[in-house]
Amino acid sequence: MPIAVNLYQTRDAKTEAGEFLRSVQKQKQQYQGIWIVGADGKVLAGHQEHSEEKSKWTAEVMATIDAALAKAGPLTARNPEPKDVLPYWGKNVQKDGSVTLAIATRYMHQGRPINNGAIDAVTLTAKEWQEFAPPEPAKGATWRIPTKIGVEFRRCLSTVSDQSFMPKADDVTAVDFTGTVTRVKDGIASIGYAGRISSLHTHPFNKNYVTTASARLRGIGTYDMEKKEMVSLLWIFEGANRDVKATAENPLAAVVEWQRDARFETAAKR
Amino acid sequence: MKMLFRTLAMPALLALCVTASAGDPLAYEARALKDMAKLIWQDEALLRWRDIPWYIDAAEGLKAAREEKRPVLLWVTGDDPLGRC
Repeated sequence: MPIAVNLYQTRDAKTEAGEFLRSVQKQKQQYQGIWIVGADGKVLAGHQEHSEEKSKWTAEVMATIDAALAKAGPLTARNPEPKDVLPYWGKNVQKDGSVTLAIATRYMHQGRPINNGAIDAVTLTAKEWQEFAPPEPAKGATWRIPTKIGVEFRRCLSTVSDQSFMPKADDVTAVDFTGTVTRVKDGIASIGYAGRISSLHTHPFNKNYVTTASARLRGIGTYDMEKKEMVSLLWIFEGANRDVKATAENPLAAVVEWQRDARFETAAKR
Repeated sequence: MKMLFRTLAMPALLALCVTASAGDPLAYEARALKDMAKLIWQDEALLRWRDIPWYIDAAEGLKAAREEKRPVLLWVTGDDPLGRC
């Protein structure tokens, strides 16, 4: 049974999940990673350390699973229905009106991505999401997205999800995003977004490693004037980061996407 | 007369064709951004793990494991495993 949990939220929690995690950590010392645990609560196998070669990672995980299966005894295959484990990631609106924008960031070289990068998200409350919509859906209307919201897109300045490398909110040195209604047609306002975000981040454990990053925003959105709601959003960030001591920059790009009504599809169908 | 017509009409027709093919600049920008998005998004093969029917409510997952008498594959990371990768 596949279960995915957040270490920070679970490790000290006085919940069944917290107790379970502490129990498996006692049996097999790992900070994070995978534990495969039998129905009796005994750890069958675990995996955290991985080789330097990424090409070996899949095989390492499969080896861990095989080791656990060998101890677990005969099992029949499950055939669960595919389910959308993140039904609001980049799509739809939650009951409280909040939305989650889906993000991917990659390093780029000569216009092509060169690493796996990171996937991420920004969740906005209904009130915050309203700031992306035109206050007045008339062609030419322009507005600024509040700094407090713009700062959350600092994620788009790092292709590494480790928080030691990700700029924090206080690291954002400048952010300025604006929206402009570019067209009104058939009850839909088309919106153009533009702006820039910059940051300066010091690694928490290596004070000599300071990264500067900056990216330009180009984006589009659509707004239903009758229903008074956003329909779609697509932002592209293009910029670079570098160690402040280095001269060479690392070009990067990020996409931020959201669609109001989107159906779940498995990867095979996408 | 025919010659004169051709001399005047052809450039005008050409200008019309060029204008028509310039198209809608907003549509052009949207296309360019969508193409860029496709480029940036990770390859689907890298995201196949999202098709696994993960339980993100651990209590629910543990209950299902007990009911089906199956081992648990517990994936733990700092921050949300399915949210950032």
